[in-house]
Parts: sequence; structure tokens; C-alpha cells
Amino acid sequence: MTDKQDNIFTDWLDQHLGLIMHIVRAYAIVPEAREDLFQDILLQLWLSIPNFKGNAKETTWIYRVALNTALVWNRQEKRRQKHQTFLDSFKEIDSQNAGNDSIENLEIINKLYIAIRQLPKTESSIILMHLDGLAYQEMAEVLGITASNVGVKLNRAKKSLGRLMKGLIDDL
Amino acid sequence: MTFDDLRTTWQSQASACQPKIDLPVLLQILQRAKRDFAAMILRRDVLEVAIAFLMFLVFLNDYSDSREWPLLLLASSCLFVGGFMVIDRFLQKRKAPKLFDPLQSCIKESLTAVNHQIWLLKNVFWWYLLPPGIGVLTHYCYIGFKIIPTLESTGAAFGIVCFVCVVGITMMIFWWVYNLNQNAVEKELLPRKQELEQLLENLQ
Repeated sequence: MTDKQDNIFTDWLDQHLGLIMHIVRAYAIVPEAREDLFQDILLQLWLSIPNFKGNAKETTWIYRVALNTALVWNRQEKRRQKHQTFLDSFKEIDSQNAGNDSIENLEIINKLYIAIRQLPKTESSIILMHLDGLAYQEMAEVLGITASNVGVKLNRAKKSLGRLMKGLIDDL
Repeated sequence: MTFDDLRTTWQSQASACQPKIDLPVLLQILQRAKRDFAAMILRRDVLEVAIAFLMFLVFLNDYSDSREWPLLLLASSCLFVGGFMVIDRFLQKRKAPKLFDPLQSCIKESLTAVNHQIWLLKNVFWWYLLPPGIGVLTHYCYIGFKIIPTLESTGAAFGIVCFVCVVGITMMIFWWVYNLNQNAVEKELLPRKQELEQLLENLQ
């Protein structure tokens, strides 16, 4: 399974790394915590591949593993190994990105993350999925609730977000 | 700005905001992390059980040499504790949370696991401390009643003091183990349980 597992994992990283980064940034604030969470999510995602039978969409599966790792998995048992790293430090990534994007957009996104972190965790997860373009049915499959329930919770979450970002979002 | 504008900005940021990953190194790290995790689980699962079974064999061997029946009681209490841990871990492993399940199921599975852990530690006296405790105290009493009457009066008094000290120290060790477990419940497991309950409540 290892070669096939590695290939699937590589494909997933190529296509969906952005989703994982959103979850990492939403649920971990300081760069060290982000690196820990990022590595944990990648490990759990890689370990989950033998159980992936293609019944769920890739994005749904990745969201499930990433959200469960961020919200439910007790990470106290495992500590990150510091002696070898596979990515640029998150501090460096943040400073690189500052040069790549318009300052205005970066400010908006940073404010959005700050607001998302203030929401209850389940509401923030719904907002993240909505921002990433998941359909109601996909969100329902990630969360294990009905699509209509997702609709109700999304409206509530959007209103809370609107209150937190007053003056920035006009239509909430 | 409308929410849809915000969503567009968010999605355009996704591609710009990605770390550069050294994939071969990452795969090596994942392989190693998997091995380390498996080794850690094995150590955690096997060590305590192995010690319990080793103690069982030691006491059984002592009994076959000396024919002192309290040793048989000690051996069986070690066997009971080891057997209890094996059965419990086997049953719990089958119910372990799966991180690829929907969030609600994963929270429920984690909550069940935490509740079981709380039950286990709150009742540590009954399944972990009491059986060997009875064995140890019976053995001390057996030795005490066997030796003390054969000593002269000053020797007997000294023997009684030693007996009380040994029993006291043993009780203190048992009390310390009990407290350690109750602290783990209070400081780690109950907050975790509340956190999971809160998550579940928000989802329902």
C-alpha cells in the first residue's frame, strides 16, 4: 500500500493543501502551534488513506480528517520532532506572503481569521467550509448532521461573523 | 464588501498562502512518526501488563518453593490485574475514535473513550489497588504472625514497630498511586470531557 498511499497523498497535497492551511490557521494561532497541527493533520491524513474507498469526495474526506484532528484528537501524547523539518517555518511563510498579495487583502484575511477564531468551534468549521466552497451536502457529510441543519447553522454562523466584522461585510 | 467578495478573496489567498513542502522528507517523517506511534502504543499497552504477568510468575515461583499460601493470593491478584488490563484494552481498542468519521461521530466516540477512562481511573482502587493490596497485607500479616511470636519481648516490640512501619509505607504508596489517578481525572480528563460535550452540544 505504501507506494499507492504516497501517490494519493502527494496528489491530495497538490490539490488541497489550501484547505488544510485554512484549518491550521483558523485553529492554531502561534507559528509553533500551527506547525504542530499541520504535521498532525498530514500524519492523520496519510494514515487514513488505506481506509479511503472513494465513497466520499476527496475534499469531504480531507475536511473530516483535518477538522477531527484540529478539534477532537487529543494531541498531548505526541510531541513534534524538532530535529528534522519538511517545510519552511510558518513565520517565514507569513512574511513571504506579505510580499505576494495586496496588503489590503491580507488585512481582510487576517481580520477574517481573527473573527473566525472567536466563533464557537463548530460554527467556525461551517464558515471555513462555506468559504472554501463546499456544498451543503458535503458539509453535512463532514459534520455528520443533516443538510437542512447545516443551512440553519450556517445562517447563524454568518450572522455571528457579520457582527464580529461589522463595517467590513455589508450584506450580513 | 459582500460575503461573496470575501469568499473570492479567501479562495484567491488559498493558493498564495501555501508552504513549500519537501515531499521526500515529509514522507520519511510520516513513516517514522507511524513507527514511533506504534512503538509508543505497544510500550504503553504491553509494559504494565507484562509487569503484572511477570509478578504473577515470580510469586507463583516463590509459592512453589515456600508453600506459603499468601504468595498464591499475591500471584492471583497480579494475574487478575494483568487480565483486567488486557481485556479492557482489547475491548476499548475496537471502540477507538476514527478520525475519518464525520465530526459528530468522532466526538461521540472520543467522549465514550474519555468517559471510560474516567470510570477506569475513578475506580482504580477496586481493580488495580485492592487486589494486590489484599495480597500484600495478607502476606505481611502471615510473616508477622509467623516471626513475631518467636522473638523475645524487646525483639517482639521491635518486630511490631517494623511491621507497622512496613504496612504504613505500603499504604502510603497505594494512597499516592490513588491520588495520582484522581488528579489525572480532575486536571486532564474532566476538562477534556467538558470540551467534547460543548462541541457536541454546539453541533446538535
